[in-house]
Amino acid sequence: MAKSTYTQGNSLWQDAMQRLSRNRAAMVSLGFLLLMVLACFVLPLFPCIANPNATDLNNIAGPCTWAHPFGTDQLGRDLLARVLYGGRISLLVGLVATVVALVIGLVYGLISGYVGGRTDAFMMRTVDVLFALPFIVLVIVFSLSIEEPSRRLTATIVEATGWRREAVAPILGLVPLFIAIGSLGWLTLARIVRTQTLEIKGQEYIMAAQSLGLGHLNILFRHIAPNLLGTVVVYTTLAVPGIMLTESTLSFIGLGVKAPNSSWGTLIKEGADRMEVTPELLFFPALFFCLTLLALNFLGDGLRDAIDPKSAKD
Amino acid sequence: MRLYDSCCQNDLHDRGGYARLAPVIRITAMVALACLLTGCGEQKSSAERFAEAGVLLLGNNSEPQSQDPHKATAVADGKIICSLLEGLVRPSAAADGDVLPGAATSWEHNEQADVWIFHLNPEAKWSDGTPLTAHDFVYAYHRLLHPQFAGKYAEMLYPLQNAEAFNKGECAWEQVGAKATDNHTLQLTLSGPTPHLPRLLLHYTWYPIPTHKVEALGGMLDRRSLWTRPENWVGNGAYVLDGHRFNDFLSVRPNPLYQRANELKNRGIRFLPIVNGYTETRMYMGGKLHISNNVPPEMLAHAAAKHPQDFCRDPYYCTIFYRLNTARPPLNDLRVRRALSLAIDREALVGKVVRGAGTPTTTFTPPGAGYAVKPPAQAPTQAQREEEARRLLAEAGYTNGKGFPVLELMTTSRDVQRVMAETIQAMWEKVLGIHVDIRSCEWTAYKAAQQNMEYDISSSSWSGDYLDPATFVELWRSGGGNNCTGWGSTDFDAALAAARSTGNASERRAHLQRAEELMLQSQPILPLYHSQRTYLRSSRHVGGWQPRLLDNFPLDAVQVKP
Repeated sequence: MAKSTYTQGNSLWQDAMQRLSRNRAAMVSLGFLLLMVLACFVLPLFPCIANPNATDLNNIAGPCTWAHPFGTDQLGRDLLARVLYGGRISLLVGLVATVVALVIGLVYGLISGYVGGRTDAFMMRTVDVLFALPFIVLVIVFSLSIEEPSRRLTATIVEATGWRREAVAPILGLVPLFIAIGSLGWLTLARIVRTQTLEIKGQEYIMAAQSLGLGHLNILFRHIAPNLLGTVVVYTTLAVPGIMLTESTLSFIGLGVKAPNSSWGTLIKEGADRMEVTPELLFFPALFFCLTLLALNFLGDGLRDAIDPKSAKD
Repeated sequence: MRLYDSCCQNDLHDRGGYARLAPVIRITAMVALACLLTGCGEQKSSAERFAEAGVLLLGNNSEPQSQDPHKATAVADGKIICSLLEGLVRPSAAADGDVLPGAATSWEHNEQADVWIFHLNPEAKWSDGTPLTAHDFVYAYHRLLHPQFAGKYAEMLYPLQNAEAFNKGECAWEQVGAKATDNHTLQLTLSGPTPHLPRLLLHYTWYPIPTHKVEALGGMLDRRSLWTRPENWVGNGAYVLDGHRFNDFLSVRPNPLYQRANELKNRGIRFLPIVNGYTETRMYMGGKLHISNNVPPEMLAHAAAKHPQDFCRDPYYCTIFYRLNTARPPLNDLRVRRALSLAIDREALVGKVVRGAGTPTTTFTPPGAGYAVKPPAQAPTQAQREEEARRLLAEAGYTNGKGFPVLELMTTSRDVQRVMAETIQAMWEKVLGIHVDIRSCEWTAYKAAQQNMEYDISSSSWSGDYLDPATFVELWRSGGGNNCTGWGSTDFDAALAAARSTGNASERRAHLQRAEELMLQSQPILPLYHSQRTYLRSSRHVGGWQPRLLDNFPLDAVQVKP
């Protein structure tokens, strides 16, 4: 026999990654996002970035210099530092709230789709009811009602661990936001997951698993959930920008992060107020925010095309 | 428009036609957009359109809480009420502090100036034609002072004999010094000599309310009465309530039965509640207002350069300060309060953040009327003050801010206040090593939290109700409706009582001054600066306008020119 011409078969994921790596816009976006995450989370650890909350009343709305590459804001604080620290909060809210939404939506949709029947009908009608309520109003009510418990939590943690409050509070102060946005942002995902589950449930391999006597939980998480992953990953990248926008909306109306800390939303609001006088205060945060949203959207698009080529438009 | 409609109907019947019609729809949309864009240039701005109709567009700060003179406390409410109701006297358009006959045609008083008799115009009528009588005034005073009504501004009427006692439930209404001797004669008996009474009467708490209407809609003590709704409104002022759209506008139109209806200089007013000064200034520049309420500090130079004719910077009888909740630890400790005050660099605050639209102060009553409390002859430098602040805080048990609880600094959502709060937050952090959280509230929530004392530190301002230092000093009376700090002192109250019982103007001032000094020594507040009013007023559309220390220029004397 001649040498066997054996080629390694590509797995679904490898195919997807290959397709993704050929999508230039998505790859550039991915690079940009990694860079942004590095800039926001690692760069401020170096002393070259100023304290974002140190005011300097003698240098209000100062020009761009080496010490302040983006200039200073209305209280003489370094704008670059504020944009980076703001990005930290915006990205963190975007990611954490999405994860919260993801977990709830995934579990809810899986159960609803897999169990079916009356349970399904009841669970989906609940989602319908929640959908009918205005999202922003719910988030506002929710974040106001858990503000006080979260404040107490901050105090307890500071007391128990002895960490500096200034270091902990900005992040812990976001907990109401995480929970509020995340726990209300899962509705769409739950529906998507349910539909997919219904489809997968009818496949032969599930029947095979059932006839082999596999338990429900095993079927759900070994056989159904992994097959949903593509859809979920795509949905997630597209949901993060929406959640970041919600955060900036809430910060814009004064319910998000607390002063003097900033997120991109608050920075844009403060800049928008002063746009005739000091347009750069609006320009820099808006630039960072827009580019990040754009990159996330491109990446999500690319992922969808890569994972689910059938749904690609052209 | 018609074309577009018929297209859509066709579309319903013939689904295949959609693709064919799509260009039509697209073109229609583009034409519509083009009309919209080019139309903006040619169309008149709302300032011009309203000016042609003779209606004044007035930026009025915040959404009014109430048009009921016994429930309102905000400046924004006062402006509306003063256009809807008229008191015994009315402000003169000619000079600050001058009074003209209003509902009363004449008045006289006895030698000590503690019994005043007002003769009402027998022809005066409410806007529904019911005659206005002296009983309406007595009814209004009875309502505001009634202990069960719990009017926040009841103390404005305390100059009346026994008013305070009645308000606290200690005596009967019959003993209070407000009597209608007949339908058109009102006799006011005061607790002490009050030569400046007419100036007090300019304030809306002294205005009458329509007895017949209030009685018909729930009675005197019904705080939820709907008599102030536009459809129920009856007033005796130059205007009547026309319409009110929440967070959009409140409009008034001329009252045909007003005594001086023919002297009216405009055809109505539209009050627009715009809290954000940046938005308001932008709206003014976009031709949506005739007079704005406030230009924020950072916009001052821009506004003055862009509209040099319209930009106004007037002195104002107003102080910006922080209230401290003295009922809560650690603010119940005088040393902490003093430390907080000393650590604020007011010169820098006013110079850099407020951009000179005010004068830094450590005292409360603004100059302009009466006295100004003199600062100590040898003022310490800011460095010395900060040193002292640290020492006091250490003495109170918080060396370098160690163990100091996180206090909450409450502000309204106004940007100026937020920026100021962030500045002071940074100053306290730097000088004292303490951290405060900033909570910015929407106006009504802020007001409610302040009056229920659900705050630690509250960013506040007070503008005078009448041109006399008493309007500032009386604020801090123990348990006063607008005190809201939990602070009270019998010495202070005694000094106020002494001021109220003397007829000698200079003696009275000395008492008031002593009272203020007593208050400042216990520091229930942190005075920051006396503010100026910075706003824009259209020189093209508005005539006859003059600056007023109390910002109470009679709006019926404002000309609106096309």
